Amino acid sequence: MKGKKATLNNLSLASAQGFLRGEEGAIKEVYLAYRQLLYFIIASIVSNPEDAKDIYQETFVSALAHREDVKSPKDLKWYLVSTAKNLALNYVKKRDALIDPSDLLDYYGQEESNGYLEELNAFLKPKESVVVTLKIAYGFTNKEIGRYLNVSERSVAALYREALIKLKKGISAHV
Amino acid sequence: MFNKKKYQKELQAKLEASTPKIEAYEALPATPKNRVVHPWLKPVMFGLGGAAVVALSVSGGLAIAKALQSSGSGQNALTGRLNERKAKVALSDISATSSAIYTRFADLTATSLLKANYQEASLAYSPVDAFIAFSMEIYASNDTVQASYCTALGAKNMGEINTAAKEIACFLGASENRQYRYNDEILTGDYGAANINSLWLDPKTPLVSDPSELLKGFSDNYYADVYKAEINSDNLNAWLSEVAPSGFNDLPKLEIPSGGNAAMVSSTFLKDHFAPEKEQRYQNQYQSGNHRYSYALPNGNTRLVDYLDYYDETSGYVFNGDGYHVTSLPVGLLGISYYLPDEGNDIASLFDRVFLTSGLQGSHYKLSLEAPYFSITSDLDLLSALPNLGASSLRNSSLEKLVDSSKEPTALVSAKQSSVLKLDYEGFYAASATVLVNAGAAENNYPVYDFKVDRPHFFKVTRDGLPLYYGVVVDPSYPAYQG
Repeated sequence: MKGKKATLNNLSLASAQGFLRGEEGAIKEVYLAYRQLLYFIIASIVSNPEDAKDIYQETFVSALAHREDVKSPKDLKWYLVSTAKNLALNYVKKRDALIDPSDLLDYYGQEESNGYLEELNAFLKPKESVVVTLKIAYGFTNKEIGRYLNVSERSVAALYREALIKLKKGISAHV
Repeated sequence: MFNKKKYQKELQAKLEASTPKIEAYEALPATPKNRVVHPWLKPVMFGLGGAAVVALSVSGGLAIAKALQSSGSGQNALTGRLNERKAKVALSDISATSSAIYTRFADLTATSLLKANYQEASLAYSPVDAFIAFSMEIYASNDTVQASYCTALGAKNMGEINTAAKEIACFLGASENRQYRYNDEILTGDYGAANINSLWLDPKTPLVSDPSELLKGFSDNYYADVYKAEINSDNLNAWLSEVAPSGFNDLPKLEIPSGGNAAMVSSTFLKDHFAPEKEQRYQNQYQSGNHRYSYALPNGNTRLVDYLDYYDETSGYVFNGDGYHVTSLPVGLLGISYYLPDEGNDIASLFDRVFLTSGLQGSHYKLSLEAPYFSITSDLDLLSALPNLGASSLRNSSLEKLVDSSKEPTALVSAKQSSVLKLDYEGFYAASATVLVNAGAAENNYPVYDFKVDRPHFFKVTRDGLPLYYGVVVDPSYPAYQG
């Protein structure tokens, strides 16, 4: 008989529960487990690194302050992702009233000057970078990415296929 | 050639390099991770039907009349309930609300009960069976006491309390011989935990006209069996022997007043062990007597007791309390937190300060912990907890939803918890029962911290942060090896 510890990707359910109870050790574990993902989400929306860093800190502070809103530890990851996304989008809306990032996927197409995404994936468009990073680095499913971007799973799959072709070509060209 | 794994590593390295660190969170203490990981509880069926009592299980919509007139062990019904528990044995299934309710109960009762019962002797308290027994009692009592109990525990209604009790009972589950994997070996041992509950009704007790819905609630929420038998110490001790899982042979002796018309009984069994090589080393030390050191008793004398030595090179943590220090010893999946008063501080003066560890400042050390073996037999009177729980009125009137008060007004006359706790080379062992009787009426440069628990101290046993036992060790009392 082999035991398997329940996890939420790289975070144990017990740690998620500890975070909801405000335990210091668990707060640190949640921070370590999700810091990369949350900063990626924010920095991919907010192009200014200093502003992105402020929003990144605000995300953890806000999530801790409102942790009673999380109904189940299993919802913690999505709660953090949504908080990061909403804080970043609110910032963008305030910064530039002309931008309407209600469709996040289209927004990535418009913001071609986002240096953060360009650095991550030199061969990809920003929107492809987001899909590839969420899928390959953070293990998101197409369904989860679709939920995050407010688009269909089919659109996500198409973008991912396209991105993989570019990556294969791009990497081969540089070898 | 595009290699996805290689690309994934490169991408993750870029992400890590670009992610800023938030110093406030980096500086937080980490949760120790040096536990032996093995499967937790494997629920199995217990035998029932002791000679001294007639066991009747009530499940589903079974009517009380049928239930109380039936005979037999009721094992099928019990199996069904234990199977239901099987699906919910992990802590992850305890909701945040249930966890908050239970933790609130523990906070409200632990310090005051230990303080009220302390008489310069070791004692222990299990909030698990106290919570379940009190919740059962109040579940069958009037709406007013239910409302004040809910307020005290921060619950919206009795449904949330019932859910919390169910989830805690499921968390402890029911287990017997179970296998677990350690490294590449499959080991078998009777380790685990169980929470087993019952409702006792004296044969002469007049019940309300239709208690079937309430009894279904006892079955569904508390996994409680119903016994129609005289409520006395002999019968309850016989029941405890019957339901104790194998491996739990050292049981508390229950002493309750006779003549009650209804009783809520909750028992908890908890056992876990050190890793095999540690257990062997501790056993050798115990049998050789080479780890017997002095322990300071409150009267100024000392006595030689056996100690466990535990060294943590990487994740040892010591917290600084007001007049005491705290550190933890992992025992399998359990954690024993030691609350050691600083030298010169009397343990009685610290009752109000300990166990409130949230917010304590701590530091990493290379921890050298010396913890004494102990053996505690404890009896607590729980009535003093009633005011904190908003349930004082139970002393005047109780169980209105179960007992026909027009024929026999009922009140809570006794609330006692008896327990046996041990820490030795085999690990941690605990068995306790609460009876509420109603009647008529990596490489680091941390400094080394020598944490020697060689004087009276407090302790708390937890699993994944949930408190399961509290205790005070005045005299460890564990017998030396006799050869």
